[in-house]
Amino acid sequence: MIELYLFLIFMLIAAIIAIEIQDLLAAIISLGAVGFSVAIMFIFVHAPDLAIVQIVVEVLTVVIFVAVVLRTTHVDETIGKKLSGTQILSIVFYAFFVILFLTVMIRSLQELPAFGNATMKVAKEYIKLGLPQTGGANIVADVILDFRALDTLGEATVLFTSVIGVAALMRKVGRK
Amino acid sequence: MLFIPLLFALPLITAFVIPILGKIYKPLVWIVTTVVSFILFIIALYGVAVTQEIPMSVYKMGNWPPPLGIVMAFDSFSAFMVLMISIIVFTTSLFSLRYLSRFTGQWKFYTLFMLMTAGMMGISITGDLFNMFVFLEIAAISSYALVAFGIEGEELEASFKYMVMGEIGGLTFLLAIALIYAKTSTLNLADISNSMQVIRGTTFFWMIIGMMLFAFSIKAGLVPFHTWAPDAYPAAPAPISSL
Amino acid sequence: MIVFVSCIILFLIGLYAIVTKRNLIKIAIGFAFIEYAVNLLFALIGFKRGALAPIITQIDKPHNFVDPIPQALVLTAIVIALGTTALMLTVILRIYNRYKTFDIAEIRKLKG
Repeated sequence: MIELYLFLIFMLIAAIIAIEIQDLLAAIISLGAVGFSVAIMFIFVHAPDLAIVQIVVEVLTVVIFVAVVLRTTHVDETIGKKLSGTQILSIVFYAFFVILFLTVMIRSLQELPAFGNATMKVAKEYIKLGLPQTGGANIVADVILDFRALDTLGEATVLFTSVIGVAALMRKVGRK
Repeated sequence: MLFIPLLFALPLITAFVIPILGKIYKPLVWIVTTVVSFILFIIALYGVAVTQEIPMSVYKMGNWPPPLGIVMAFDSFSAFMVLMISIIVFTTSLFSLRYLSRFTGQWKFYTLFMLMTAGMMGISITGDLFNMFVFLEIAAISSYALVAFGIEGEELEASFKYMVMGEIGGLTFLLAIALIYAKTSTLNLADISNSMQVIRGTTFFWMIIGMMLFAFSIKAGLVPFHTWAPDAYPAAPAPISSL
Repeated sequence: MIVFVSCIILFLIGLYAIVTKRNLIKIAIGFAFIEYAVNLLFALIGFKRGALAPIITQIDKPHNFVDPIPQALVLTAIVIALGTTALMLTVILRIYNRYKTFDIAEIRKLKG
């Protein structure tokens, strides 16, 4: 599992670069690096379907980001400026939150089954019934298209909603 | 028990049909929206009548037995929620016609409006944790777009603020779902509440409760997280503020 | 344990961008990070050591698969994340067209 740890470290470094760099295009490239390393990690945990979808969605995300930045500006003017009062206040607040959140989170993560030992209560049923009842060899496809098809309808609806939302917000004139 | 899925399926189908109707004949859009919301109101009244006799009715989506498939649970609380939503939706769509005459692209407004209705109906009747997240996102995304519908500076800024708060809430909810699934290995709400009895009092339990409370109070605009609300409400088109 | 904690750290990096950055694009990038962190954590929860991807290739053998449910859920969550990111960037683009800046403090000043 050493490759998983390497990619986790790479992902964290790329994430820090993405939010601290001044050039927004470079920040988006780093965002893409994070997204693609997530896709590779999906392969390491035996989730090929997720890796494929993550790659497609990541390409789309990067393209949308680049389209917005090319129409506007690619310099982040706020980097290097003196911190304002509200910013210092929010950093202090954030630091307190991180300490609290991490302590509680690590304690509750210890109560979960350790990494690599999934419980699989309902999942056993899916694996047993998947092929005989739905006729699909890929259990993930059986789950999203048959057992939990309503989630997939909801997913399609979310895409439809955001398309209509984008169309509504890109109108040239809002009021008559 | 066929009326239960109808509560969210009807506005969903309407939302998909409205873009086509808008191309054919524009005034039809408002008429269809109002008629559909009136039918929803009738169904909600029928649902209230049903809960007087059967306190808890369950509809299995796709006829899969509960831990496998998604279930819809209809009890007196969800009947109350559905009735409230349908009353608000019906009155809003009734009075939206005059208000909206100032805006362009009205069919987009009604499509988003119906999607938001479907999302909220879904949240109140679903019996599955992840499905609740999906409906929450449908309602949330359409409401972000509706807040910014006038595309003036004020409205866009309010929408962005609302989006930042709402998305933090939504993603915290998803993180809580992931942790709950890791612990209980199920997504059915009834199953989860049984498992939660076992682990009651541990750090994990309070963590989950805290995250859920945080997520829902952001969504509902409760006191500590109300900072987006004063901006979003006047900025939104008046019919949307009422929701 | 350490893999779960690294996902939480990615979550916190994203939250850091949202809470302290003043550039709108940086805030959107922060949201993308939070989404990745939650999706990755969810997928890691379903991992089982020594198991295979949940695709049946031989019917007669007993199956030893990783958990398929988190994979099905994350598939939905990834697409939902794309929808929200697209809408958020549209709002950001419109804000830029109106105020000609990504800086939150500048926007507040221009608004008066």
